[in-house]
Amino acid sequence: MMRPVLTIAQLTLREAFRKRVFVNLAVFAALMVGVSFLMTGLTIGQHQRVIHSVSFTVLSVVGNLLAVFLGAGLIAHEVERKTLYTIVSRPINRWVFVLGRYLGLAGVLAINTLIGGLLVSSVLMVSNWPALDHFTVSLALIYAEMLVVLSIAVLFSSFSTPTLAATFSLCFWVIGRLSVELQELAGLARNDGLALAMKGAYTLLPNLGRLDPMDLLIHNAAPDAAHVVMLFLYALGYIGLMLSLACWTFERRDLK
Amino acid sequence: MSLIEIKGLKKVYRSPFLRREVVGLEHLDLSVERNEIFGFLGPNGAGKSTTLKILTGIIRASAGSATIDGLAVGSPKARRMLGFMPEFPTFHDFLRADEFLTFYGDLSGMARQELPQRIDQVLEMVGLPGVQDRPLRSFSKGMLQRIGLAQAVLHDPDLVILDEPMSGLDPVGRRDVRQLMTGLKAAGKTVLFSSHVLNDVEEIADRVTVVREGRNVLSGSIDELLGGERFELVVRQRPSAGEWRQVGEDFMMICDDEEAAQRQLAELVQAGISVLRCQRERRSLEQLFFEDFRPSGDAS
Repeated sequence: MMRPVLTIAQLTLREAFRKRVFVNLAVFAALMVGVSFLMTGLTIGQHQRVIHSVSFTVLSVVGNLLAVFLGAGLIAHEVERKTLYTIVSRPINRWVFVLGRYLGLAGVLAINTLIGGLLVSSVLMVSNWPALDHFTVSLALIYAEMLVVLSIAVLFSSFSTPTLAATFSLCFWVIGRLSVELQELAGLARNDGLALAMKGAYTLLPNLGRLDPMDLLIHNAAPDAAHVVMLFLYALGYIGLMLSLACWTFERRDLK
Repeated sequence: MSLIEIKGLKKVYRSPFLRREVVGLEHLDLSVERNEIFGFLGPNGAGKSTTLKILTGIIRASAGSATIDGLAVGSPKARRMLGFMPEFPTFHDFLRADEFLTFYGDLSGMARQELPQRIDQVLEMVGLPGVQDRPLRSFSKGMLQRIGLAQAVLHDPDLVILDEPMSGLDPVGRRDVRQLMTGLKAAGKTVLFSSHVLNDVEEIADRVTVVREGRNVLSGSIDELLGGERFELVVRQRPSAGEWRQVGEDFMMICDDEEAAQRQLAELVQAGISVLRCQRERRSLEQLFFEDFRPSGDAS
């Protein structure tokens, strides 16, 4: 069963290359070089951290936007364009398509994040600043967040239009980033119903704020290994849940 | 056992938010035998594509049953037996022709080492030799239709299902598709296809079924449906007896058999009426379709 999954993943990667998805990296590189020069003149003694902070923020935003917009069209576009007809009529289960597409896009995001990380390191190296201690862990956390957002986009893509899927996924990403605040607001709410709704939203929505590596980068504090492992397991669990729901929904869907 | 067995098939499309229901198929019974070319006819919206989509697992039936070689449609095992080309096929146009066919070969579980040779073979078969390196986005509509056929037959399936395979093709393309279909039959395959091009259906189909408003209203072999030969008599002067229909300045009568035609000719000679034409002919599928199965509300 792995061969068709990999075949579809390969199709997704090929599509990304041929449709020049990685052009964003050129924009990112130009931005990085510009910011590094600009920050040198503006800050005193904090160049290294500012470069890290700005570049990781840009990398995260660009990566998550790619996850939202590419993920939202992953299934929905294929349904709209009817390119799926000849695929689902092959002797494969539909979950194979969902998983293959997800893995392909996960590969696209991995390449994007990796090259982005290399660009940041290059800029730091050229400027004679060493990368911070937790550079790799931070990059991995950013990638984990993208994978969670991608799984949400794939779920919405499995039953709605590309526009709706992108809108819902974007909302989930933004709210997911603010989920810690949701928990705090639940404690402050005077209305029990509102508090319950906020607690429910906090439980159901992805806790993306926890995957934000800015604390590691800015304070250069050593991360607790067990905590980092828990974060990755949490991301993996959430991705598993979203993809299972996407496969279940897509398996039952009529492709009109 | 027939290769395809459909009993009481029904499909209702439900809109979840508007609570609106559209009946795509009301009640369809159908059987397609092995090694035949089966034509699926009907006006737009009759339920042809819906049936083909159910058979290929794209949508699910609301009621009734459909099997391919005894296997419930929708199961990967049943789909292993078929190749499908949808109406107005659209494909991933960023792929080259060889990449495109390799993709479908991989999904069908074909051995990697046999693919290059088979790809050359099917491209030759559909009249697209030497396009292996060309991206699909550079293909014309007719070429896309042909490569759609290539992916449908690539894995050498026992059953080939084609939804409007002639649409978008020029006369040469239509002839090539007809030849491909008869070639598939000669190779022991079964072909089920829908078409609006009735002449093509009449020329190549062994049996047909006519669907209207989600039900099949007529099924049988071409000979059974069109009947035997009939005779057309045309005269300039209207005879006093018989059912003559005015066609322009002339009058025409259709006789169902040769004996009736001979009798009518003798009467005309006796009455001194000159016969402009006496012609042996067979009713065409087009005539059957328009005369007997004109869609309701169509007065033309």
